[in-house]
Amino acid sequence: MNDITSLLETSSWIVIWAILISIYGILFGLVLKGIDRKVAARMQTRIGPPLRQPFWDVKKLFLKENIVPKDAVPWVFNSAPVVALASSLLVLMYLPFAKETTFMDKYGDLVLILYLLIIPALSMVVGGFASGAPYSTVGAQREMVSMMSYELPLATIVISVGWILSNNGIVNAFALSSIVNNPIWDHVGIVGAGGLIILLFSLMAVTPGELSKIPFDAPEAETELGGGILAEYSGRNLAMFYIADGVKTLVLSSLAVAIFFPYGISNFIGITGDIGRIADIIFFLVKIEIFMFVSVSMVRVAFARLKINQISSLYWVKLGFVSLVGLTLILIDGGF
Amino acid sequence: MGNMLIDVFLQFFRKPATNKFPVKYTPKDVTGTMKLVQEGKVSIVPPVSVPENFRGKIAYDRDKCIGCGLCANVCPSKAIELYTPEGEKKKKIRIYVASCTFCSQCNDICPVNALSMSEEFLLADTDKFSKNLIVD
Repeated sequence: MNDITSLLETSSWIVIWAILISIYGILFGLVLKGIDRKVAARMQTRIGPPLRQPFWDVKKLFLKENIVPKDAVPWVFNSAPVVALASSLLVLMYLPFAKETTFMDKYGDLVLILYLLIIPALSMVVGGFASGAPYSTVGAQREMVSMMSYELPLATIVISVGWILSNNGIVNAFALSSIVNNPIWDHVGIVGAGGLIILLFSLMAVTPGELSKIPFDAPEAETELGGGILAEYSGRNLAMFYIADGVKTLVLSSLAVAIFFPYGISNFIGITGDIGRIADIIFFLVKIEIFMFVSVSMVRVAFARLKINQISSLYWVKLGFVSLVGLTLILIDGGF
Repeated sequence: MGNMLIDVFLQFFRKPATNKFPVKYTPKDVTGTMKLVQEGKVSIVPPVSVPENFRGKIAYDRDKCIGCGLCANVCPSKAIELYTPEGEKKKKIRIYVASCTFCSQCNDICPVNALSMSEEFLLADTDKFSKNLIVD
């Protein structure tokens, strides 16, 4: 009996948590998109849209007609945006919020997140193929290729983090609570820190690829594929992909902050208790902004789009090699 | 590659080259806003000042013109018409701004500097031959 009661309690908690995290993820994801557009405009010496523009865009898209192409497979075509949004929110549920790890922590770790991150991209691929249009199909093929390409550097980062923590005798090395509470920088020497900087660089390079942002936006490619995967999407479905994109930005920034910058500000400026927690949370959001500014906004303004073969060779050969070098440095540092 | 990133980052702190023309936020009702502007309730943000040597609508100094017709000859889009006004001996020109490509060749070739490029650029009109688009 006891088991069932605790199960019910947990499941009701999960539902409440899912609702809360969805509200936070969607709203803050859209705010992130607004900030991204604003700072990108400022870097192009434009004024840019107001911060609430993404909210207006979503509102408009929800009012628009939802067109399903004649050649599309309707149920796949319509479910792909739902899956993309739901899976991005699911990853967000596992991620720690500042130092507050959630009860979801015991159900999954960094390896699970690595796999869950594939689902939003995969649902976009499925949606692209289900559109039954040439541009969407080409976009979906490209998305598949870039998806496979950035797996190696991403996996290397995850392995390195796990190895550093387990080498220092921390149980459950892949769990996010251990990662957040034991900053990896504390457990490496100078050589290892060099390795970590290299890995941070490759995570920053993987982030725009994961989000299909310039210079890795060949799957969408507005100028040549007219939106690629999203070419046939409109109305409610497009709005859901749009929201999912904001949530994905939030997820990747949170992940990077959790792995590489888990430090709080409360100890540093000497406030404790609940105010310290709030300060930490605000600092966490600021860290997310900064990471997004450097790895998404600035990169997407400064560079032009790469071809799909360039993306593939960049991720597999160059970045894969670089992150393996980083891993090797960490292994040498840890006395492997 | 690195230079570009630095440039972009520095540009972030520079004053934007654009402004919120014509009013701060896109109005829901353009004609209504224009009425408010005429009543003086809303102020218009002026357009960004044009760059140096901007080639806008051609300005024509009728008294200086000697009617040589060089401008009409050199005009690549045949936007300049040469004619003799009634009761005058010298020929004068008429410029159809709707055909003008703003190449400024007529300015360069004019022996008496009767033509110049103004800074006016708000030239949208529904009629090609409206008063605003014919300079004479």
